[in-house]
Amino acid sequence: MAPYGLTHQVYLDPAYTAPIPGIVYDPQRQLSTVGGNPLVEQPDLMRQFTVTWGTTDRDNKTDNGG
Amino acid sequence: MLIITDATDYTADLIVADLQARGVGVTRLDPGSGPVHLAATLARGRWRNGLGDEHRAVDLGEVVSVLWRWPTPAPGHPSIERPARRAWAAREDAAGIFGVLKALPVLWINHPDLAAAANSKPGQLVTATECGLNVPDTIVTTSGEAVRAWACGRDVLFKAFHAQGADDDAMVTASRVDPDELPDELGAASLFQEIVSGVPVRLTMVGTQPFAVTITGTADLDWRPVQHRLTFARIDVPPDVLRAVHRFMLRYRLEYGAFDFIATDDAWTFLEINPTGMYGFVEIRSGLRITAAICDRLCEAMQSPVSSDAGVGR
Repeated sequence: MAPYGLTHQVYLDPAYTAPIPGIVYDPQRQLSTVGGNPLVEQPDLMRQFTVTWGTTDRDNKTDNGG
Repeated sequence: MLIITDATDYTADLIVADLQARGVGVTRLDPGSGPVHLAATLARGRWRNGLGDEHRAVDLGEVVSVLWRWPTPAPGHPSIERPARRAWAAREDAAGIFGVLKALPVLWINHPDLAAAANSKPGQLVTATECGLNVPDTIVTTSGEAVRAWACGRDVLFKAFHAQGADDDAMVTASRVDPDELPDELGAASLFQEIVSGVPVRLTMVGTQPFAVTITGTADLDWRPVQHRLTFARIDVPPDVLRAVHRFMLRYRLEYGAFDFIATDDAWTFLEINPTGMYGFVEIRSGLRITAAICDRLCEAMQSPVSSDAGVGR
């Protein structure tokens, strides 16, 4: 048996869920960088990767006890 | 100033960058992402001294505000190989590391225990009603037959309590349903609501400041999977709705909230709040200065430290 709710499960566009190519978290700057430059200074990438999803990796992580 | 979130929280980068530009000392930690070092001592009624990772540490006694977003759950020390022992260690870490943090008597945006309370959809609907907001007719049931009896021919939707799907990178969308096609046994508690017509609105609240946008560009009930099609436009919040939202925020003692509404010219209907919801996509597309408002609020605590009774969950 499958719970009814999962009939409404959809798979998200990889353009939004795939890791940003070349992204590196810089612990010294406490920011993510792409190509050595802070992600926050790259609006197109920020536009693509600051979306909201209903997944534990995006919106509801605190639901699992964090 | 302490920011508790993981490295992939790119929206948090906006906040870190803003605080750094202001010359404010900020420490970003994700205690669950790797070995942490904790040596907290209880002195003068407050946890003090060091919490840190391999890159930086913070004196808990010097923290005046905490932004809690998406920390990684404590996984247990990576050198512990046996799963049951590691799970035990993870639970101890959650209670100890996060427990010490949560007991800090500082400004929280938002305190995780308060966010958890506000995150209950059934509870939100009750509170919203009590605060004077319109809410859709709603049923929570395990029975398709109960939905049919409740729906009485109305247009209804299904909405999951947690949109995370059963598979990675999958979400369960809010979707229009035909009650006649529901199985008698739904297999889990399921929430159905009457569909309210109007324009979707995302209202992001930072303290008492509203940042609201309409969301257009799709006829889908759930706009989250199709964000590449969307257009965001600023909208003013009706005064009565804003007063009700303020009451809602006070009821849950929240400093931040991402509210979803359906708006018409006559009324706004509350759908839900996510107390830790994303806002970066709203700011980037609309120009609303939500980051600045959050940073302003975090920095206010430097001038007016919160009193010791502000901590919760102690």
